[in-house]
Amino acid sequence: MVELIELASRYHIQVVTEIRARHRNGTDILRILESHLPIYYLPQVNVFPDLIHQCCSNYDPNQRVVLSPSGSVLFYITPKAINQMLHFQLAKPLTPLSMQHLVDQGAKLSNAQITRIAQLFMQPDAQP
Amino acid sequence: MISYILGYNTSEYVDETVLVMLSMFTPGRSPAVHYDYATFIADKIHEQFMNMERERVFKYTSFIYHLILYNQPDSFPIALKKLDAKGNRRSVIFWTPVFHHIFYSPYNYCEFIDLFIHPALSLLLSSPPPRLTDEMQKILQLSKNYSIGDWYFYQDHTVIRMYGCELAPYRLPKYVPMRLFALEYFRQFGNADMVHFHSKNKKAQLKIKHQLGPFIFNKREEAWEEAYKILKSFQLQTSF
Repeated sequence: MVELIELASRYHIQVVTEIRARHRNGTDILRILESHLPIYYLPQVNVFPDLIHQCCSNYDPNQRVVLSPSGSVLFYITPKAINQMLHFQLAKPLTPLSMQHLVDQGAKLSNAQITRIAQLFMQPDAQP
Repeated sequence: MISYILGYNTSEYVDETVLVMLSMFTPGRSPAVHYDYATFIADKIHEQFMNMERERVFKYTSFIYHLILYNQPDSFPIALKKLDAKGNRRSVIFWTPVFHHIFYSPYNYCEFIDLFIHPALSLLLSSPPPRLTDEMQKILQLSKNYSIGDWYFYQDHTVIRMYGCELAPYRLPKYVPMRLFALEYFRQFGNADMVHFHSKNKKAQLKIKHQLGPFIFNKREEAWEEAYKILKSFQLQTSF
């Protein structure tokens, strides 16, 4: 648990690299890499809202694509495009994820489950 | 990691949604579920783009930057490390740190603007943004009789000088975006006003623009301080 906290304080790419290394040498006890979370954990970037607003203006929601002024495709915003750039290959069917799903599941969490999660992820003095 | 993917701003934000995600982990066992994060993120980006005008919220900037870079790599004048030591293609996150927000980045803020933002905007606009737009030039020099400052184009950076400002100007990127111009305008104009009018107990004489680029302000002192703070956070060099 302490190791996880140390890991979380590091730079994104270091975290991803370290989780991958732990997976390879068998010390990734929680099998974090297998959850695929680190693959989608992108580095924090300098924010420049003008670029995002421009992408939004050039966005074609029907095709889910950002176009150049001449109409050529600059990039797609699809699951396939995201997986491609992150080199994630689908090995088996995945469970759909939505905030509604999480809210529904959250309402069903028992006290015992919450305690187990706290023991696993929280420092002893912060546990309920 | 979970907060980031779900689009929360802080890793300290823990509610039931995060607890559900954490519940998939048990020591020594594979995660109980394997979620489809790519579809979740693509849908979130779509949703936030569709509501941008009303809500003005966007949480997946990093995904957009990486998608642009991955799909248009030849548009950026930077060295990209697409392959690992064994010659295999790498995830785009390892290609370059040009837009990464890290204090020990090999790229400074001006390079981020000139090497990534400017080429990216050039792809999205019908013509590449100029070094200083006509609007910025007009603000500094509306006419021969009304000019409040100058600009200087150096090989790798740009400087603007407001008459009466006693601060060293910042070295702005070669291509100056309006948001940086606005901050430097407020900072220098504020100094000129304070030094020559406010500090001498004269009422502020200079007419300042109250809305410039994305910034609006009501109180002069607060705006100048805020502009100074934001510019300082970019760690720009001064020109002398």
